[in-house]
Amino acid sequence: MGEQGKEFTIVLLGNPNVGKSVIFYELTGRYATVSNYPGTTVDVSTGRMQVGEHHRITVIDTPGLYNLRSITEEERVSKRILMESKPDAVIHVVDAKNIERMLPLTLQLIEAGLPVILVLNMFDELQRRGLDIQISHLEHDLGIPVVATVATRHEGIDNLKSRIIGVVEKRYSFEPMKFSYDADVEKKIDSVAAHMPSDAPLSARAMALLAMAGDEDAIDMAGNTDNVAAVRDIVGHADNNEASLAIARRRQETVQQMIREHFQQSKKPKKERWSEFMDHVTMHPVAGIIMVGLILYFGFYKFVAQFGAGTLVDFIEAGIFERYINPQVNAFFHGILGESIFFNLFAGEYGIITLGIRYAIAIVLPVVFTFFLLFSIMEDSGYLTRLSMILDRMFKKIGLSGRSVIPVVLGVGCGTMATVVTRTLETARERYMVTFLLALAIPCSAQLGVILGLLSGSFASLMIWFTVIVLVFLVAGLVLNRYTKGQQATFFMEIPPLRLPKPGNVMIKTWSRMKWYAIEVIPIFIYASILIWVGKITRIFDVLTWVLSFPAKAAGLPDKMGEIFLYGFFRRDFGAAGLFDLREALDLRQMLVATVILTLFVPCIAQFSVMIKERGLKTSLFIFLTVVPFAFLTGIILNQVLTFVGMP
Amino acid sequence: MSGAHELTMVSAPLGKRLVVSAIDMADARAFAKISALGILPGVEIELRRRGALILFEVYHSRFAIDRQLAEHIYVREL
Repeated sequence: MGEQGKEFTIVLLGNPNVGKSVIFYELTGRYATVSNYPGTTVDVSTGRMQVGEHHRITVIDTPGLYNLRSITEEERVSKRILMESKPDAVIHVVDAKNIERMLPLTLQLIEAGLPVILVLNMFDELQRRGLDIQISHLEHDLGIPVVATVATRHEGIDNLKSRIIGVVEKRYSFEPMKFSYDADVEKKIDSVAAHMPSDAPLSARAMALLAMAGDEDAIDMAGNTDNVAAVRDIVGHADNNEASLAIARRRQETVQQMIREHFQQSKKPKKERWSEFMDHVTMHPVAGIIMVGLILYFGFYKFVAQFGAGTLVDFIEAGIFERYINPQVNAFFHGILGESIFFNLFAGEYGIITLGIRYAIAIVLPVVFTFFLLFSIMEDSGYLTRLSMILDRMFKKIGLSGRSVIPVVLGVGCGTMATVVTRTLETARERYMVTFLLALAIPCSAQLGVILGLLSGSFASLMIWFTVIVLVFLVAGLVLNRYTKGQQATFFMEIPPLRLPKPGNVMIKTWSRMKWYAIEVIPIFIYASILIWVGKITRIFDVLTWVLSFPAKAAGLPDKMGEIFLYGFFRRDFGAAGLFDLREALDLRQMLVATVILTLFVPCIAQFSVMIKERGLKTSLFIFLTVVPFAFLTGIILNQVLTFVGMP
Repeated sequence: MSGAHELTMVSAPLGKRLVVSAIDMADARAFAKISALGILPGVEIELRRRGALILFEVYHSRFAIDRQLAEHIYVREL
């Protein structure tokens, strides 16, 4: 690409939590397109950096990775982008205060012969700890450009841009540091490198180093089967462990030496008492749980459920749609389509505009917005990782790791998005289990809003509902853990310092989630309206409603509930809203049974379609066909128990 | 790989400066994760909290890891 005029490609790379995406936004001005990496479901953002008239630079933002020897699918994608995009510059972003831990990856990149620029981001946090780095010396030792930035305050970005230009135009003369390993390790590297083809994406030496660390991609790239077998033979040998440890140590020692020379403690670090106290509270086994309770109450119940699902929804739904938009739309389509069946496709009770779009904008959007805002605040402040720690103990019991906490919590906002986020989980086993639990036991916020409204009259019944759902979650988890093949994933997570969330970051995060939601989920509402229309005119719905009325009756509910359960599939919240209309006709026991079944009953159509995309049709159908009878069975049992204890 | 008297991160004392003495490499995947965190023999760490997870500091970051991983990391007091 480089030769053809002024078209360049650069790749952003680095650990998670180093502010890589903020740098990406600073460079590209927020015009990013997000797309799947071919053959995977991992999102990769691509943007354009415009510097003057003459430089058109494509910037690729990669998922966070710790090491080129990849563990998760996301890390693998980052590595492959690095190998395949033939970048004109690789921007390795590190957290300045953590340079000692992150620099080995820089060395790996340098060894791979890539044009690396090292960015020491969050430089202010380093200085606040009384530390300093002599950048020019570091630059001299590494032989690559080094830039200090505080991306959230735009500091150092212009400098970074001009360094990028210098590198892509090949005006910077790299003098990459060279370092060698012990003689026997070198011999081993050479013998592996000899089997690497000349057209490998990285240098033969770099490929050999990766292969020796056990990187499957690097081994496979040895080309023909003979070479792959030969590499496997060397790499599988018992002394390879020693060699790869020696390599990792050599890199580490090189880094430590550099750090000793160029890293200074200039003044005493300031103790941040407040932050230490909050750390203590949020991670304490008892205080931490109380904290979770407070967030549940104020964050979810007060803010998302009461303000988002209550006040905002009422305003948009009753104040705007029912008063102004729906009458206009109905009148308009009545004018051109009359009383035909096509009128009902667009308007009327289940029309694309009067139902699909109204639901998307009036009922779901406010709930999703308030939830994502809360979630982004928890994420940006660093609280989310602490929540994972607190809940890890419980999650371990059902065979999940603390990493699963994030998709499960996100599922309380939107199960569809949460199902997508299961990609960040390490093993297929864990991805499957979380997908299943999301489909079964996690109510999304749209649903939650209505359910909380329905049961708000009786705190006791709200608690019964909550207890039943938690029990189902745990029992389902235990059963899944027992019968799902594979090993339990081990868990590690970086716990970044707690900090006040930055409004700018929170807005970017909330906005990008809302945008995703608008693009991915809202069209599915519209298809759902069309399906309901088809279902109604072909009378298929009447049959399904009739079928569903039997288990409804078995759980002590009126026939009409069959219809509500059916609509619940098209929009979970819609089922709950149907229940809302019926609330006068139901007693408290029936109300409880109905809300429990609705919560457990099949995921909505949007979530189901994402499940198929992520987990495949077979698995998704299996989950679907397990969840439906399970939901009714729970309802039937609950009805029996409540009747037995004498609930009217 | 190590004598029975050596400590792993699961049993080492909290709040003391420790140095990683060895890493059990039998499990290649576990080793890849551990070394990705920058934990290698010779690196200093400090344990901060031990519950279902073990919270520790390495360089200037904090990590939480589970016992299954921590069992692979041998340490001694400085």
